[in-house]
Amino acid sequence: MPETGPTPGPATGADTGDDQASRKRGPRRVRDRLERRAIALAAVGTTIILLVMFYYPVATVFVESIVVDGALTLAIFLELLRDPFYFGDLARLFAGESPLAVGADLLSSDRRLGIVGFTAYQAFLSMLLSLALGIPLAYLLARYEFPGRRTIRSLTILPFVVPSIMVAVGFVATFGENGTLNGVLRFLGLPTVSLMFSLEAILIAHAFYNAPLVARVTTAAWESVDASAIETARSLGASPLRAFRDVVAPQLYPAVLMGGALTFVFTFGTFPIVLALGGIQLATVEVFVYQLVQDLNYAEAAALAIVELVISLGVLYGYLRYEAKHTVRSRGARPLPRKPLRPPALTGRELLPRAGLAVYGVIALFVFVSPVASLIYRSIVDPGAGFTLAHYQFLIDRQATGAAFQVQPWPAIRNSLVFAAAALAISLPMGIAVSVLTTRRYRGRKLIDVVAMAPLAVSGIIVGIGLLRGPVFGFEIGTYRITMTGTIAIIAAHAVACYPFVVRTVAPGLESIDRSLLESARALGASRTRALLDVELPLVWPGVVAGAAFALAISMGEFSSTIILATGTDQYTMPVAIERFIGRRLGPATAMGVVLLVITSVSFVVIDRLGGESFGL
Amino acid sequence: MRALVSEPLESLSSQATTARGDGNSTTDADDAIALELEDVTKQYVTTTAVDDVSIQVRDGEFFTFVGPSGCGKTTTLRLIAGFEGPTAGAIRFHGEDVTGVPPEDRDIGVVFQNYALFPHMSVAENVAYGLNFVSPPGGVSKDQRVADLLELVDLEGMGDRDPDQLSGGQQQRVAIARALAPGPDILLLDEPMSALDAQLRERLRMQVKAIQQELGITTVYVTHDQEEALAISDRGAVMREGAPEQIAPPERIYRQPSTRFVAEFVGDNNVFEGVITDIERLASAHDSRGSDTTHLTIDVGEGTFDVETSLEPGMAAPTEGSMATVCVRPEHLSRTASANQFTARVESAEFLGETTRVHLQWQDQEILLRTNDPLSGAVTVGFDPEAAHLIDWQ
Repeated sequence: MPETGPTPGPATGADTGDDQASRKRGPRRVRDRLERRAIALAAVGTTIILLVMFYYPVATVFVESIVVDGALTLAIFLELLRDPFYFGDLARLFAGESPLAVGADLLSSDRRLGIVGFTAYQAFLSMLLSLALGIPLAYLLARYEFPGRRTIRSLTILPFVVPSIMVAVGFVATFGENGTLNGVLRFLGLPTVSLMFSLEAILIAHAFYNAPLVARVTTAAWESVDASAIETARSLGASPLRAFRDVVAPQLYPAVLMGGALTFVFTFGTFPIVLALGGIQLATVEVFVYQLVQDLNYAEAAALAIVELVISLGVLYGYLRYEAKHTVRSRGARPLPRKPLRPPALTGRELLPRAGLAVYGVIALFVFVSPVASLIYRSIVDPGAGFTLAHYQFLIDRQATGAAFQVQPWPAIRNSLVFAAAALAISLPMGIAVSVLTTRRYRGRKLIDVVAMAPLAVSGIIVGIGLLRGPVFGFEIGTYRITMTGTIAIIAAHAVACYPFVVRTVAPGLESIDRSLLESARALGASRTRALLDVELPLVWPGVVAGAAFALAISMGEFSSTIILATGTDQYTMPVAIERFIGRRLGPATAMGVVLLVITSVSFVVIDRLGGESFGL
Repeated sequence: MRALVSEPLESLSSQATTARGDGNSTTDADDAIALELEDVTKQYVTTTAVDDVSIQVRDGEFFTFVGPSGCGKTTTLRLIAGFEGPTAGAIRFHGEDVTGVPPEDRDIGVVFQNYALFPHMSVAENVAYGLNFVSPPGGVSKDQRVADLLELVDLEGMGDRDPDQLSGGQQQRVAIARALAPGPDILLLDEPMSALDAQLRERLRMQVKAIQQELGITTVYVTHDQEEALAISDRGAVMREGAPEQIAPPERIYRQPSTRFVAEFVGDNNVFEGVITDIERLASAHDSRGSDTTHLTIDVGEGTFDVETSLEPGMAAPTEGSMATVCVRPEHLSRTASANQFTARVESAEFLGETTRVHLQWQDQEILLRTNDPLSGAVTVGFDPEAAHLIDWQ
C-alpha cells in the first residue's frame, strides 16, 4: 500500500491501510514457497527420471551399435542392411545391385522378404484386417442406437488394458491343436484346422488388439460430423451417398488413417504375440532383437532395434504430417441422429446395411469374444476330462512345493502388484506435470510434447536392455560406482512406459478447461499449484482416475522390458510367469491368465466408471 | 433491483463514505493514481498487440478501454492483471511497480465475459474462494462476507445453488461478487456483458455502475460496445491497433473526437474533408472551457461549409490552405437548418424505432441522417456551424 493517507482501497470496511497490508502480504512460509514451486519441482523430477531411466539407457544401447572397439563406425548397420536374412531381396539393393533387377525379383513369386520385410508385411496385413474389422464397428457405434451401445463403445478401450501375453494365451487356447475351435469343429464332425504358428493366428490376434482402436478413433470422428453440414449438402442436391462421400468421408479419413498408422506401428513392434503364436519361423524384428539379446549380441540387437525405430517413427511422422494438413474438426456440432438397429421398414434399403452388420457381428464374436471365452473355458475344462480345477490346484501346489528356481504364482502376483503400485505413484505426478507443461502455449511446446511422448515409440526391449546395460550394471561417477537394483529398474521402466497414458488422459481435459477459470483462481490469490489442485484437477478428475487405471493396467501387463530385466531373478511378474508356463503346460498358463484377467478387469471397470470416454487417443 | 446507492450496506460501503464522502473529499485522494501504465508494449511473434501505451487511472475511477476486436484492449487488461507480462514498459499500482508480480499477489478482482465460475463449487464456495488466501476485509467472518456480497449483487440466499442452476445474468453477478470478496484494489472487467441479451445487459450495466460507485473501487472495464463505454465510464480510452487514439471522459469522446477513427467508431458520424479558405478567430466568444472559438470556411468540393469550432488543447491554430477534417453527427443534420446546405440523394433507410437512419449519397460520400419523416429522391440538408467539430487539420 502506498502512503497516501487513509487508504482508499475498496470494500475494506474499517480496515486501515496497514491492516490490509499485513492481511495480504504476511511473511511467506517455507511450505508456501514449496507449494509455489511444486509444478516446477515435478517437472524437474520428471526430466531427471526421463534422462536417467529412459534417454540415458536408450542412448547407451544406441551407442553400442555405432561404437566398436572405441571407434565410430556404421559397419554394423551396413552389414545389417546388406544381409538378405534381414532385408531379403532389398538387401541386394543396399549392397549396390541394380534397382531394376531387385524390383523384378520382388515382384516374382519366390521373393525373399527377410525378417524386416516380413515384419512390415505382417504389420501391413494386420493393419488391413484391423481396418476391415474396425470401420464396420465404428459405423455401428456411430450411426445406430441399440441397447448396450454405450457398453460396447466403452469395451473398445479394452485392448489398452489387456496384457498382450494374456491375449496370446487366449489365442493358443482358441486356435491351438486342442483349442476350443478344433473342439467345436470336431463336435460338428468337421475337419480340424491348425492355425497355431501361422500368419493367420498372428493377424487375428493383432486385429483383436487394434480393430477396437480403429473403431474408437473413427467413431469419435463420425460423431463429431455436423448434421447440418450433411443437410446443407442434401439441400444443394447431393444424394445420401454423394453427401457421405463429400461431407462425411473427408472427416473420417484422418481418423481411419490414424487408426491404421497406429496399428502399423504397434504391430510392427509386436513381441509377446509373435513370441507365443509365431514360433521361430515367423519371428519379427522385435523377437529377433530379443533373441540377439539372449545371445548377448548387444551391438547387432541395438542396430536392429534402431532400424525398427526408424521405420516406426517414419510411419508416425508421415501420419502426423498428413494430420496437420487434413484435420477437420467441427466442435460443438449437432451430431447425426442415430438409427434404430431394428429396421423400421422391410425395404432393401433398410435391410441391407443391417444384414451386413449381422454378418459382421458373427465375425466379431469369433475374433473378439472367443479368445477370452476360451481362456476362461480352458482354465476350468480339460479336453476329454471335463470340468477341473486342477490347473488352479497346480498353481497352489507349485507355490507350496515348487523349487526356488521355478516360477511361483504368488511372487509373480505380488511383484506385479508392487511394481504396478510403485509405477503408478511415480507416473501419475509425472503425467500430470507433463500435461500441465504441454497444455500451456509457448514456443517449443511441440518439442517437449515429442520428447515426453518418446517412450510410446521406443520398444520395451530397448528400454530393458538399456536399463540392464546402463544403470543396473552401474554408472561411474569419479571413483564411485552407482548401481541400481533390478527392482528399481523394472519400476522405472514401467513408470516410463505408463506415464504417457496418464498424459493422454489428463492433457485433453486440461486443454479443454477454459483458461479464464485458471486465471480467475490466480486473480483471487491462488498460486499456480493451488489453482491446479483446487480448480483444474477436480474438473478433470475422471481423466486423472482413468490415467491411473491405465497406468496400473499397463504396468501389470508390461512384458517386453520386464522379461529382459527379470530374467534369472525372482522379480518376475504375472505376464513373465505366463510366458514361462505357456511353453510347458497350457492349463496353468490359462489359469494364471485368468488371474491376470480378473485383476486387469478391475482396472477396466474403474476406467469405465470414471470416464474412459476422456481418453485422448 | 434493490436501490443500492440509497440504501448502502454498512460493512461494504463505509469506506466509500469516509474516503470519498459526498464526492468533495480532498483533492489528494481524488488525484491519487491507482494504476499506471508507462510505455507498455506487448509483442507476440508476428504482431504487436499493445504498442507503447501510457495511461493513468485515478483512484476510484471507472476507466474503460473500448475499441474494435483486435485493438489490444483485452491484452492491456491481461497485462494489468498479470496474466501476461509486457515486452517493455512498467505497470504500477499506487506507484508500486508490479510488472513482474504474479496475478495472485496483485490484489485484483477479475470478471470475464464467460463468467468463469468454478463449476464444481456452489455459488457460496465460488464467492468464498478468494478468502482462502486473505482474511475477509472488515474483520467479519468468511460466511458473513459471502452473505454480504451475495446481498450486494441481489442474490441473497442463492449460496447453495450450483452455478449452472443460475441464469447468465445471475452467474455474472456471482462472478462480480467473487471478484469483490477479497476486497481487491482494482476491479478488472473483460467484456462482462457480451454474453448477455440486450435488455439484461442494460440492467446489469446500471447495477455494476451502482456497485462501483458505492464501493468507490478503481475499475478497469473492457468492451467493444461503444454505447456501453459511453454509458458506464468516468473516462475511457478508444483503442486502435494497440494504442489509444483518445483518452477522455465519454462526453468529450462523443462531442470532440480527436481522430477520424474515434469520430467514426463512437456512434454514427459524418466526416468531411476540405481545404480551409478562410479563418476568423472569434476572440470574444469563449466556450465553456474558456478556449477560443474559431470560425473556419472549408471548401468541400460542391460548396463550402462554415464551421465554428474550439481548438483542442495542444492543437495548433489552423492555417489557410490546409486540409481540415470535420465531423457532424447525424442528429445535427436537418432539412430546416439554414446554414451549410447541400443536396443529397436518398439511398436507403433503416427504421430504428424512435428515429429512422437515412443513408444519403453526396459527392461519392455516404451521409447519415436521423429523421422521423419519410424521405425519398433528392433532399437538401444543412447543419449549424456550431454543430460541427474540427477533428484535425494538416
